[in-house]
Amino acid sequence: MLNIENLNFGYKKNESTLKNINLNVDSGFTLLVGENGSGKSTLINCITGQLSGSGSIKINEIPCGSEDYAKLISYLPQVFDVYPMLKVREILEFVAGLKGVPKEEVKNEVALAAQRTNTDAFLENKFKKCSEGMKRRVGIAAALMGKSEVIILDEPTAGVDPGERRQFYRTIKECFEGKTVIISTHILDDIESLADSIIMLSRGRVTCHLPYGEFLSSLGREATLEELWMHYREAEDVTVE
Amino acid sequence: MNKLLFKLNSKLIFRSFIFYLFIFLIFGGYAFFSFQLLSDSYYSNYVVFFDTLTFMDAVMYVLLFSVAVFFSQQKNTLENICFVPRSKSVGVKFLSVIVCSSTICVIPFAFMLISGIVEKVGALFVFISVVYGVLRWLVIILIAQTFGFLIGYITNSVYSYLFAIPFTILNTFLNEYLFNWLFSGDSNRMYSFSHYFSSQQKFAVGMPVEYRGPVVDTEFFVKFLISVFLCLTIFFIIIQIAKKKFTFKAMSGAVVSAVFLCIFSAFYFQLHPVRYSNEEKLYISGYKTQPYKITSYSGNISLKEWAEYDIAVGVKGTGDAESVTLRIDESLDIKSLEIGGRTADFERSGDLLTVHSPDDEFTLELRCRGRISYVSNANSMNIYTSAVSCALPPDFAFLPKIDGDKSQKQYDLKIKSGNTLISNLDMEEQGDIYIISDSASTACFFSGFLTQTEKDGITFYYASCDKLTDHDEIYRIFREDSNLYFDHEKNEIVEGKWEEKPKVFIIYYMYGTNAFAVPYDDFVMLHFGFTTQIRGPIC
Repeated sequence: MLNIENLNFGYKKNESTLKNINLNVDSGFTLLVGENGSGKSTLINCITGQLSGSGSIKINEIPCGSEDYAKLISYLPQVFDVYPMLKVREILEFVAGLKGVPKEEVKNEVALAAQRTNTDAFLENKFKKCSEGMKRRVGIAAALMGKSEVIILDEPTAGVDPGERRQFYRTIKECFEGKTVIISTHILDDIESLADSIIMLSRGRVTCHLPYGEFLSSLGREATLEELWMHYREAEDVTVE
Repeated sequence: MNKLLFKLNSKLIFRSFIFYLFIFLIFGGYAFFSFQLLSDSYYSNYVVFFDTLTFMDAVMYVLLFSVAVFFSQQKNTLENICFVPRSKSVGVKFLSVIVCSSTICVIPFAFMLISGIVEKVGALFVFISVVYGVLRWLVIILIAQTFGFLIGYITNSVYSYLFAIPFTILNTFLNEYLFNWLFSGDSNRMYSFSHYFSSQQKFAVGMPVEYRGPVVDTEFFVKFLISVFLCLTIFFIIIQIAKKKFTFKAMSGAVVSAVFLCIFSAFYFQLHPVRYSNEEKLYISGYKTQPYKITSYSGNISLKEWAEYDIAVGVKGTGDAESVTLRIDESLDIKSLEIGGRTADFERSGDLLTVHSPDDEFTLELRCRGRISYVSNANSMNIYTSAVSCALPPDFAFLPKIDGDKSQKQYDLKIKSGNTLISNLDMEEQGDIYIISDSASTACFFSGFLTQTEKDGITFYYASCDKLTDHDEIYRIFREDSNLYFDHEKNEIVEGKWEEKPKVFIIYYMYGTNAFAVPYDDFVMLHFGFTTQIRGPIC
């Protein structure tokens, strides 16, 4: 479980990009939504340890910044643009190695991840020769490496057509079942079936952290996603513990 | 993790088009320059040829700099998604670029090895030339890529490549123009700074006594260490920048490396050879005749970079005087100077040593040590001692001399030398010790890759590593074609034929003779021109 307490972060002195963030994120699929500049990317960077603010971030009580913490988290950036001249197999092997998978288990782990993401037929292909959809699947396979408990997906379907998006969500649903998955996204329409909970950020604050069903019915009537978005953008923190 | 990152970076470097292009240009450029130079010049051996590729070095510097810039700006997406600390991914990339680029050292290695075997110059010569060639390229690689990576990483812009131009000027022989302008004619300082900043070999037209080309001496090795510590200092600075906050470990690494860099830099300036003029060290024509003469030299001499002398010099009066002024080179530090077991009363000023109130006949017991390293104004290292060679020419005061003293002296010396020793004095070789017992008016010693042959009662001494020169033809040119020779006492060129001598030194001797024969009492020095010119006197 991901636990964040009193997280504050600013890029400059006297500036708060994130304001007193407190979150407990359990296993399941959590959507992280918010308009541009709301602090989504900054929060992700803090969770992945690339930025450090005040407060604490822990996964299963292991603090952010430690080597063990890094092994418990996987991150799939918006554009999985890794070294094009490497083969898919080599990319997955390096990721496995860097995520602390023992040498003797690397081959098996790569084969398993490739099988689960349906990339096993492309392992010997150079990454630059892969289609965009294939590259995303390689990214998922990379996120499967090691013993990650928390998976962060940053705008994973930006610029992807609806058909491919559905395929992508199906794959991550199958692959990351039982893990804590945080998906930063703008597009709510076709991700609903996946979502267990939702976190909304506005101007660096958490304005809503609710189970997804509760979020949908929170206005007490059949509200559109746009209405919900507008409502929670201005709301005070609405968090169900 | 570091090992895995190194493996990753090496794969990326060896698979990149830029690196292939770099390798192609280095090989192609080297082949092109080699073909150009070999087609219109003559070289005494392959090391001398290798050192004339100065323009290729500058091209190589630009390419190495650009390769480092390219890889410093490569995105680390894979490392980032695995949460590898930025400092670690950047640090390993920096080292990987240098290690992978160092594979081009296979060129000097193969060139030196194959040429050495073809020219049959012997295992020691091949070994020192291979070490020299590889280290010389490593210095260029370290300096060019360290600056390239730093600039590329800091600026993170395509314009970083433009910095290759000023850095190439600063770090190659081209900087002579800059320092010449900065020090406005102070050639000693100009060359010291120029050589310090240059990643290339120092004396492009300089050559040692046997035309073997440069070797890894103390000065060159210190230069290599300077490159290593410069690289380490900048490595830690890059780590510090990548961490984005002060870390004690990275900063202390940078400081410690910088301290070593400063220490070795100071040492380098001390080691840098001093320039001399011929009138100061060799052809002193304005002799002040002394009422004393030297009768004998005996004792031990150890020829190495810091040569050691433990000798007794017999001095006899030829007139009345309260003091005697001898000449001994100022680079030699006197550890003790005694007469009859008591410390002598003496003064030193430059090369002059004045001993007060001596008896009519006395023996000076002298212990001194020093690094003789002089470079002529033609940029040639031609008075020096080192582990594998030395050049102590006849007019040079490496043993105490008295100006104008042309008397016969008895030499009973034991000389330790790391390589073949030759002299105008007769000697017997016992391992690395040469036992000398002979009399002559002057003495000279040369050591290095040298050999000797006898023909018609004349002993010829010449470079054993120079298999290409027809030494008989050289001697014939000096004897028959030239009607001029150099008078070392008058420091001038004289018309006429010189008398045949029993010993002939066909070696690179010293600047100032215009490559004319320099006859002495019982031997003649045949300086036979530069390695890339037609051999023989310039007339």
